[in-house]
Amino acid sequence: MTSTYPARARPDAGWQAPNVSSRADSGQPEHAARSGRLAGPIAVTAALGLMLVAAAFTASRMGHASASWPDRCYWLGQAMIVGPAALALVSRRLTEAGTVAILLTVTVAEYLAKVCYSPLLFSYPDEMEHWRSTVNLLHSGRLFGVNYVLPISPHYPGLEEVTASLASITGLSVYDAGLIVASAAHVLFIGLLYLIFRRMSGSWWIAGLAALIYCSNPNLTEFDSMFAYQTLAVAFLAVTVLAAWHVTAGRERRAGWMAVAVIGLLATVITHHVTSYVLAATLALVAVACACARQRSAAVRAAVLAAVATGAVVCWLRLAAPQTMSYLMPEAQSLLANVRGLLDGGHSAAPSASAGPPGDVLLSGLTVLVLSAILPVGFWYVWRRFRSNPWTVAMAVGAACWYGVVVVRLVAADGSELAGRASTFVFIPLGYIAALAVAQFGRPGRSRRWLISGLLPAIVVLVLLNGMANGWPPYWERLPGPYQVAGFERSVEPAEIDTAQWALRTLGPGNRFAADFGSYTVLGSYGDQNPVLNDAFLYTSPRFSKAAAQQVQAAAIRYVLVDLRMARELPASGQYFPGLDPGAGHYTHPLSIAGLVKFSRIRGVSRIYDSGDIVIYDLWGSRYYAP
Amino acid sequence: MRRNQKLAALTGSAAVAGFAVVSAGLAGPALLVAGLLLAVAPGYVWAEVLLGGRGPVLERVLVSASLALACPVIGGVALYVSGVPLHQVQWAALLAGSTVTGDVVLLLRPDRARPAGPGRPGPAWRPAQVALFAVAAVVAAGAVQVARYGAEHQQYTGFTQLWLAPQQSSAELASLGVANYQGSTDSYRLVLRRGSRVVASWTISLRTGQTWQRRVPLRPGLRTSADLFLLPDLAHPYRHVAVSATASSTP
Repeated sequence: MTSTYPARARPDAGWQAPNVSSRADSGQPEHAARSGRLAGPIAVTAALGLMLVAAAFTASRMGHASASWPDRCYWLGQAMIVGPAALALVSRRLTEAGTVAILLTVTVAEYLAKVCYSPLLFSYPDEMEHWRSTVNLLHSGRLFGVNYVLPISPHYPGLEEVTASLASITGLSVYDAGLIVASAAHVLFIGLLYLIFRRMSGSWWIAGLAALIYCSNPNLTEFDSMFAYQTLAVAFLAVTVLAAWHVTAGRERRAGWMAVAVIGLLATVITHHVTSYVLAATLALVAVACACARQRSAAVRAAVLAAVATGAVVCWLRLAAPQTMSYLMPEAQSLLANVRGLLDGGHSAAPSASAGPPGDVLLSGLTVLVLSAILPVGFWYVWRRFRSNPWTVAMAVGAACWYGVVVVRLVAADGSELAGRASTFVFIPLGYIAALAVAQFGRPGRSRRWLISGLLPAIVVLVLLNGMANGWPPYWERLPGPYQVAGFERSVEPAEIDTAQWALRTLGPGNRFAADFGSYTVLGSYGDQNPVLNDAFLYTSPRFSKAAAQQVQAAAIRYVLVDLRMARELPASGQYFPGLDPGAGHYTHPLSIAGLVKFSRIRGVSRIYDSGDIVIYDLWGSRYYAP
Repeated sequence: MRRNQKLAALTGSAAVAGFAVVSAGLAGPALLVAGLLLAVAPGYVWAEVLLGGRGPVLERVLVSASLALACPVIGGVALYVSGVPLHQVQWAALLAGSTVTGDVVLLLRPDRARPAGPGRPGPAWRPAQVALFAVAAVVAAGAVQVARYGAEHQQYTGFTQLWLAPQQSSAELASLGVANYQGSTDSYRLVLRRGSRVVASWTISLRTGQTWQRRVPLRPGLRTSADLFLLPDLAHPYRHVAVSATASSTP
């Protein structure tokens, strides 16, 4: 593979190409064999690591959840997946084929680790929500249907369309088709990222390194690979950016690449809101960078793409998804309020950033420090050598957003969540600029050989492990296992799913339900019910009150699902109830049983379902609705 | 036969055959293979149309896959806007139609020779390395099976569902049911009361996963309740449900 970008503007043009790579470029067969010799054993090691991860999950499910050895087994497995690959990719001893093979090995192994976490059905909240949208599309044959638990999802139906079409024409279940679509999109995304970095840098070593650093994005191994609309949208974003590179900097087939870019950006706009905004902004940034570099024709072509993307976003917002702004606005307003509060000299209303185990917090802090420190080296290098290269300059500008993400994480309410979401995008330029900096450190020279052989792999492995430790699932659900009250994946068990399916079968879809945090998504997805947020008031008071009745009527709550385990265990997530839970993070003992069973004593309330731990009450005709 | 003609003939026939299999209502492996062919064909053809088979193999493969995924996304919206419902045959027609359209464009276009050099695949892998990747694939598949085994054999607390819910169609009828998920065959005694009077009772034996269900009438102004006993314990209700006297006014 060769880059068609002008050699003087290539980021690797300033140093001598790595010896092995340059000889491999010339096609010497012994180096091809060497790459194979590394890639094959690394693939086997990664597979054995995956086996350890799967064994840890199985042990945790089979009654060893409280033992420490499954956790150690899990981390050993993860180290076997990423460690040798990181060593090889940093070492510069690979050919391009070896680089790609190792990168895809890590990507596939990490994806399979995610599948192993939940190998029978979707249990991640976001996956269950999109499962519901897909099933609705399959049944109705219509787009833009109703999804009570994630109302915005049917208005960005790309993922559901691909999955429904695949399930329809192959006869596969939605789960199997969804896994195929998500895995294809995930592998595609990493492969395309590699190609983007490869085209920009002209070096497969830098490209492999940049893609590997991107893999330290805390969301990548779970959130960005799950059956959710962003997983597919980022693949479309990547193909659009690659096509945009060809349109602006390439020399061949510009019309064809322009068509690919337009198809990619339209698919992005249909598939995910935030990703489409990031794509439009990226194309605009590239246009500005090309204009600043006095590359007029490239600037015009990038500006055309940016205009098409912006136009498509606006049209989609107006015609198909006008509710997007009301969906995204509360998060944006909360963020702005926190930043404003901080700028005014006060304190933000944000709770402190992630409070996991000390080891995870330390790892997170170290990673932030390392990345924050390494980026200026990349900026300096870009300034010195590549300030006339618009794509590299655009990447540098994008990478600077990393510091904004760090600030958001520290000051914003729910900052860890927002920072995690942003990292999906920010890590793209960050990975590239950090790879340039690492490459600068690792330039050939005896005095620095220890950097390549020792320190750099250690740093890369550190940031990769941080991505796993501080990504998803949270540390208290890192391994699957027995039920946890008010958790995420570990609150999805047969009892919850059967209850949700019973509700759909017996009560019909779309009923207004009050439920706890753990049952909220299951009811909304597998049960196709319409669960309400901010319902703590119903459970925490020991007796009926007129104020509660007013709130019930205002929220049109018809049914109340009570999980009696809330009176026995503390919430794993820190909050018992979805939305605003006044006690979130402050619960020191389980809920009072009196508040949970009071419904049986309230006149007119029907107790319509009982499965032991889970009881459903019907409030219609009761004092809650009495005049 | 020129390269474009070969490609168009191959993908076109695959798309038409795939469409025929899907629209004929076949199931099983035939449908799976036909469906997968239909899913990938449009991306492959349109990547050839747009990029002319040029560029590195990895780039062409990834662009093909991207276009294959984009086809149902954009095409689905186009069909929906045109008033076409999105069911199996329509999806198959969309994908086959996209493929055949691309084939027509390919056939109408002059066939250019593919450049040698950068677009060619890299050095071949040695058999030993291929064998190592095969071993890795087998181990990875085994890992997924280990995880599936764990998920399938995870011990959950067994449970029994009891319900008494007014029917949506008629508020004067209720659905009364029992479902056993205890993990074993169990025997129950179900007692139905109207007010304090026992109006019916049943002895039920259910295998795990089995459901028992009846329709029972509700009387306005009278509370209807059901107690389920897990035999042989007839002293303590195992499950309890009740529909209030005012519930018959359910909308």
